[in-house]
Order: sequence, then C-alpha cells, then structure tokens
Amino acid sequence: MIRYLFPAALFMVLVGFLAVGLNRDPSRVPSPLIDKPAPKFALPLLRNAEQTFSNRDLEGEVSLVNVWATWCGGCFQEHPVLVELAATRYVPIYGLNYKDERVKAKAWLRRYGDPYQAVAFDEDGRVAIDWGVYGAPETFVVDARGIVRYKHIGPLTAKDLQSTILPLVERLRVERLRAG
Amino acid sequence: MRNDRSFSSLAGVPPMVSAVRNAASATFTHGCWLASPKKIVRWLVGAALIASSALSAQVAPVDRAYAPRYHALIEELRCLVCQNESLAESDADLAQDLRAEVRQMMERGATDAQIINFLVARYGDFVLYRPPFKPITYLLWIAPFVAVILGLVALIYIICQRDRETDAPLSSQEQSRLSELLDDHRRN
Repeated sequence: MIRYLFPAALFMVLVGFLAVGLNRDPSRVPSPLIDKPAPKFALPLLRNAEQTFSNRDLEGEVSLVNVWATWCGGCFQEHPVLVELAATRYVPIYGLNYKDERVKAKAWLRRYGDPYQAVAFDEDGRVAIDWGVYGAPETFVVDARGIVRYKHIGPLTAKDLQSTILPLVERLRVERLRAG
Repeated sequence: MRNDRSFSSLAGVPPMVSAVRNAASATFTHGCWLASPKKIVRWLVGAALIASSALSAQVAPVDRAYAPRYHALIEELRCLVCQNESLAESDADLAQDLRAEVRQMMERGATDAQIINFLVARYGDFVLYRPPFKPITYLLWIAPFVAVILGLVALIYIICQRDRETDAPLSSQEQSRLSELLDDHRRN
C-alpha cells in the first residue's frame, strides 16, 4: 500500500507548490521598502521648477504617492480612478512624474484632469530608483510619519481602492490617533 | 552631480570617443579638410568609432580597470522588467538606467557588495540571480538535497526489498515442485 501512497503524497505536495506558485503574478515583486521611511529626495515641482518637493512634504498625513508618466499606458488607464478619488478629497495624492517631459506632462494634466496635490518632476528617474520603481504606474501608501506602508504595482482600479487602499488609509489614520 | 544623464542611444559615449568626435569636428572647421588624406582617414576613423559606439551603446563601455568586474556583476543581476534577462542582456529602459547606476558606483569606488546592497535595498532579493541563504530561502536551497537523499533512501529500500524476496529459501512445497520439474526435464 505504501508503495502507492508515498508517490501519490509526493505528487500532491508538488501539485500544492505548483498551485501556489503558478497562481502568483511574477511581475509583482514585493518591495523591500515596506515599513521603512520614504527614501530621501528633493525634486523640482512639475508646474514650478523653482519650488522643490521633498520626502518631508509627505509627513503629517497619510497620503498616496503615484508614479506616472505620459508615455505609460497603464497610467492613462488608471487616471480617471485617481481623478475620481481626488474629487472626494479623502486622501491627498502626490505625483512622481517619472522620466517624462515637462511640457507633455503639464498638457496631460490639463487635458485629463489633475488629481495631484503636487507633482515632483523626476526627469532622469533617479529618485524613482531609490523608491524601487521598476515600471509605471506604481502607487505607494505613505503614513503620517512618512513611512512607506504599501506598494501597489500596475494601474489602480476602483476595486483596488475599495478593497485594499482605502481601508488601509483608514487603518493608518486610526493607528495614528491611537498613538496620539 | 551628473547633469548630462540623457538616455538616448548615444548616452554611453565614453570620453575617449567624444575627444575623437571633437577632433573630427575641429578638422571640419579649421581649413580645407579635403586637402589632407591623413585628415580624411582620421575623420573616418572617428566617424566609425562614433557609429560603432552608437550601435553598441546598449551596454555602455566602461573603464578597462573594472570592465571585467562590471560585466561579471551585471550578469549576476536580474532585470526587473523582463525578468528572465540579466541586467547585461536587457534592453529595457530601467536596465539601462541601472547599468549606468552600477557603472557610476564603480567609478566612485564602490565594492561589489556595496552595489548589490544598494540594489537589494531598493528592489529586494529578486534582483539577485543567486538568492542569499536566509530563513525565507531555506526551502529553496535545501529542498534539492533533501529530494536527492529521499530518492537514495527510496532506491536503497526498493533494492533491499527485492534482495529479500529473491534470497528467501524455498519452501518444502517449492522444493518438491522443483525436483519434479528437474526430473521431468532429465527424463525427456
């Protein structure tokens, strides 16, 4: 009996591993930045090159940091979701304009709406590397102490907001109130 | 800081080649360049160098002093965009940026370990084709050896089992049946 049970058990273990492994999306690489302070940076603003935007500006309130570019298809796809979220004024959204052109980026926001409190202009993508960005769009949830708490890879959908992002924002706010 | 970090195909033109390029343009502006065949040759060599560097600019040339180190290292690092390619092989925009980053860190005197730490801190162990040995990867590293040992144990078990079956002495019934058969055989 063991002669048949043993290989069958081994096979089931293999099936188990494959079931988990093959159902994972390999393009979503977990970020080592989670629960670490947002990387230090200081970048010019998209609309006003004289002013800088830094990691310190992310402190004080739970916020979203959205990495986007006009050349990125997924960004176009998620843009209406961000515009809609911004209209509710539920959580501030900051933009990190990634390897883009100033003129194009500004025209894009004029045309499709501007959901961002501020947009940092990362022309050479150097700051994005510090954030571990490997493609746009990516969206980070940063807590009030300026610590990265979550990273969403790929276009945000209304479902992602409802099921993950917004509940997390709420939880982080409660956490902050409890901490005083 | 780097102020000319463009990402065109010519981004990696090394100082030597740009010097040649300058020399080439100098021959253009100073006097009649057609007059001297030597200058034409020089110009052609310069143009060929520029063209070849433009064609191979995907992996920008590095200083000879650390070229072997650089190429060995980017072979060991995974491109996050096209995940089955190393940083050395990938033409993805990010791979080019990360190669530039690795190159610049080497120029500033960083060790391989420092460069690897830099990338792991940003992208996680995933950038390493050779994952480190730590709790989350224990299974990954140990499982093949465990599988081999289990296989050997199973093999030995099966062989012993078979030996026991064949080595067992014949029962008296089997013995008499055997002599019967042998007798039959002899008689025929």
